[in-house]
Amino acid sequence: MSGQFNNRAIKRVVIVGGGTAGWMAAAGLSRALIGAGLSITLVESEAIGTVGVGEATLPQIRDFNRIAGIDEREMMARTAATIKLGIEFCDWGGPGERYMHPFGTYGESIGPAPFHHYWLKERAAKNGESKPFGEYSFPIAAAWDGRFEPPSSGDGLLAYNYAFQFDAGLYAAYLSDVSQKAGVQRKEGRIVEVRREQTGGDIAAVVLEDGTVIEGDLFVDCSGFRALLIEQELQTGFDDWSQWLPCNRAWAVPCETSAETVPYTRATARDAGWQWRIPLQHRVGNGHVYCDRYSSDQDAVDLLMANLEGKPIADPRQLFFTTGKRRQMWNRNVVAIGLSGGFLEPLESTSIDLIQTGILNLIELFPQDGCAPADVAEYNRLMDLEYGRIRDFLLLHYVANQRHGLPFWDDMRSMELPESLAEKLEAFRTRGLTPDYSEGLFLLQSWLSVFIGQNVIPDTLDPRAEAMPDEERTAHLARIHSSIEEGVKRTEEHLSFIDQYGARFRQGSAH
Amino acid sequence: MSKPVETIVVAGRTADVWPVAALLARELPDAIALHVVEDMASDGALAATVPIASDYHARLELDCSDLITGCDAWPSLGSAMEGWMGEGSRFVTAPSGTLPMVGGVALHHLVRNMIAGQGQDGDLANAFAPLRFAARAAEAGKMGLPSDAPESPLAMLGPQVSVGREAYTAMLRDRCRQRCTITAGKVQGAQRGDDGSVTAVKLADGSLLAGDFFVDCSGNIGVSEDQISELVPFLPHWIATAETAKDQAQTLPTYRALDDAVLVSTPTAIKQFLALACSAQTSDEVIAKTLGDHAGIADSPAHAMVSPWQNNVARLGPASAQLGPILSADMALLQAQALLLADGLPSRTDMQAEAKAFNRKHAEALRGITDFAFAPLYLCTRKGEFWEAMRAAPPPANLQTRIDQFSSRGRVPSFERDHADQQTWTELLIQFGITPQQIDRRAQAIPPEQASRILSSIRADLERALTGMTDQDAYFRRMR
Repeated sequence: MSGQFNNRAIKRVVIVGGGTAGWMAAAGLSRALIGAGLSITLVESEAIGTVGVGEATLPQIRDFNRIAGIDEREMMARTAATIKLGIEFCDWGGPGERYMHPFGTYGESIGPAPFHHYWLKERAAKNGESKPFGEYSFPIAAAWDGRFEPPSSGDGLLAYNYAFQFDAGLYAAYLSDVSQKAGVQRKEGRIVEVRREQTGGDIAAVVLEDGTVIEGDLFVDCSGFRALLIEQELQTGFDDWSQWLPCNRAWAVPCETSAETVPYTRATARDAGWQWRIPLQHRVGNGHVYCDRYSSDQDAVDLLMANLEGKPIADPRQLFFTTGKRRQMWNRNVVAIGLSGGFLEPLESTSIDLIQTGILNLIELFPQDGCAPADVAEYNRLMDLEYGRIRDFLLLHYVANQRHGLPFWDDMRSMELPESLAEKLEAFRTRGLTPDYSEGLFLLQSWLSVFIGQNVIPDTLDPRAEAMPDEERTAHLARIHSSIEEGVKRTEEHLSFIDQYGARFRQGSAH
Repeated sequence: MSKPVETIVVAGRTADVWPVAALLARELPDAIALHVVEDMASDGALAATVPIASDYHARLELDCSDLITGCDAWPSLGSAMEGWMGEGSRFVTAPSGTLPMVGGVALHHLVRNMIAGQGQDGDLANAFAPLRFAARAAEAGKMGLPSDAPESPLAMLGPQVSVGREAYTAMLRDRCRQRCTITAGKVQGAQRGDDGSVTAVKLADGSLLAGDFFVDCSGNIGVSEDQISELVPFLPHWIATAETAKDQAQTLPTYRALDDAVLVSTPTAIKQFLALACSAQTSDEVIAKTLGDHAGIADSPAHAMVSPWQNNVARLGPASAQLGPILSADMALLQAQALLLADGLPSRTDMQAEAKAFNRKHAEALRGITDFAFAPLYLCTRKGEFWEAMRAAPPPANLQTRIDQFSSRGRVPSFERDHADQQTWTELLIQFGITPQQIDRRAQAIPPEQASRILSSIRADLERALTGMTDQDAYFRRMR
């Protein structure tokens, strides 16, 4: 951290920007800290739109909701939320293929080697004709059958977690209500000036168009891609990762629902990127992420509109972005949360998760008297670690593609990888070794989903899997498969769960 | 030309090879031959204190009763730290699960906030002491296994056993020797193929033992010196060990800081093991006075290899690192290495990816163990030239981050493959006198009366649980 360390007591927090990031920050900070004598002011301008694309979440959102004191049922009804058990990837391994990244495990422990080694042995023994890997995961089987019930216990074959698919705009509006009830002050207005302290150079205040001066001790920059404080004012710098993740544009459009409202998000590979489908209770969110070096804007929007399942209910909106992250998410007395801190494309629904990670880390490291360099360094270390791991995981989807003969995909396969990913890929290809770090967003099961889903099959397997006789292995796998099938049959249908849970979208109940 | 791994050779001194061979013997398929080259030479009267309910023991299907009956292990719930805060000081460090939180806030933050309100900023160790359940149980001579009920205080226990390495090894050997081909002897070198990989080890009697993959616990297969990094410049420089009659009064393994050395005293069911981790300054007189005239002495400067698996040779135990006996670091590393190796065994002789993955994970495990085992060396507040020099040396980066974060705000950052959990770290740092500078703002958000009520209620629960626990002696007899 550069500049003088200001050890003034932190009593006033100013959040710059509303939208999902701003109101999540307000909700999280107010719930955890407002009782400690903190004042929280959020400045937003209705004249400035929000990006608001993130509609699919990861199971960690449930932790955030719990910390923010949000009632799940109420939240679902207010945001038109559906349940999400995973993400389905179509045509990534090769044309016509699909797999799912579930929020749960595959199989169970049946010997000293990890489960996937026994499945791979079975597959080899049956010349590739064994049951697909995904059929050994309860959330995948339930998702594909359109079923859901809240998980009852933590461990075992039927253990899983779930997330939500919701309207991010409605979620922000809902959190705005929650936060203001908790004491957060909302100020409407466009920021026209940022004032710095005479000594040290910390941010002292933001000034609105109408001349209102809002002073603060700590500023949370949720101003989106504009990065008003962290970049425009503090010039923190940006690590550009577009050499690895080159998609830099997207078109987004909602459409009417005409197919089943399934409990999963879909990501379908396209010629120069991929298309998302996120089914909500009242509509379907769609988007096409692409790289402008491989597709014109017109071709990209045409492709999106041609692949909608229902009638569009708005004009398509174009988004521009550069993948990467701010060099320091916390610089001086400014913490960048959301798009002002960085952007990783929404392939694995990480946008909202990165927001909540930023908020929860800030709560844990919230300063008492000034921003202690040790705390700032730790915050940045944690965020860098998270961004780096997510980057590698997203990149894996691209480099492990089998879409031959398409320039975008051919180039992605042959790119030079970050060493951290190259090692993981080599370890799996050679011997089926999976990343086994214990903290972070995407753990072993997530990596396995993509490796096996995209046909990255190891050259050799764990020798310990050889210790189990073929018949015994086949019997174990059959038992697991049948337990999952039976479990799915007993599970309720997705939409009827939403009805019975009392979480049906109440139109007009939101802002 | 790559071919399947059909023969694995594990070579080294008895105490080092069997903790590895036992796990491989249990998990490998019969199609892979397991040769153990066992050097019977003694490394001295070695002892260790190891967790009972570890992944290592679970995979060997060893429980507390097996350990007590199989190798005269002595069970306990913690270890005594003596002299670290000055002559005559003492506290207990105990592996501990997490205490309940209040509104997502750890209890030590609440206590820190309360003592700040009472103007007693420097006395966190004292104020927090009643909540150190596992440490209090250990100090009171209690013993028990962790409860499965997560809300029970007993779920926080991290029981351990103290063992003589020779007896522990003999037990492991007995359990798996049928699966292994055993050769008594000492490795003196290796025969290499054109690609530099080892094709056979040369034994002292001139014979060759061929294999596809070699686990070298001897250090005699050869390694380039640039693979070795020095860890801590002062301790332990060399180790002196001795064995004495059991001291009935000592119920916990004890780590005592002396003027320029650390004395480790490990009680098993039938004996007492002493090890002196000496610095370069430790005199012969101190060794003789502390251990008696019959101490075995091993030159053992602390060091570790950066990448212990090279080509088709994985170096484990003393062949890869010497961490010393403080908090049983050497044994902890050997067990961690055995687990990492078993999980990443190669199928074929081209094993670069396996080696790379092992080396990365090993580096993380090594950092976790050294951070925890060496933390007392940096946190010790004893006076004197030796300890002042120790404190002036920069700690490893992750340990520095932990100390900085805890000093700043009472938070313990976690890292991959940590050796001790957060509660154990928290208590260790508090016991070493660190009072966080800042108070967690979430703790300030909880009204003092509410915090006080909650803490009283938790303390009462802990007292009740403590009263109902079994004494160490009674527990030992029951298991025996």
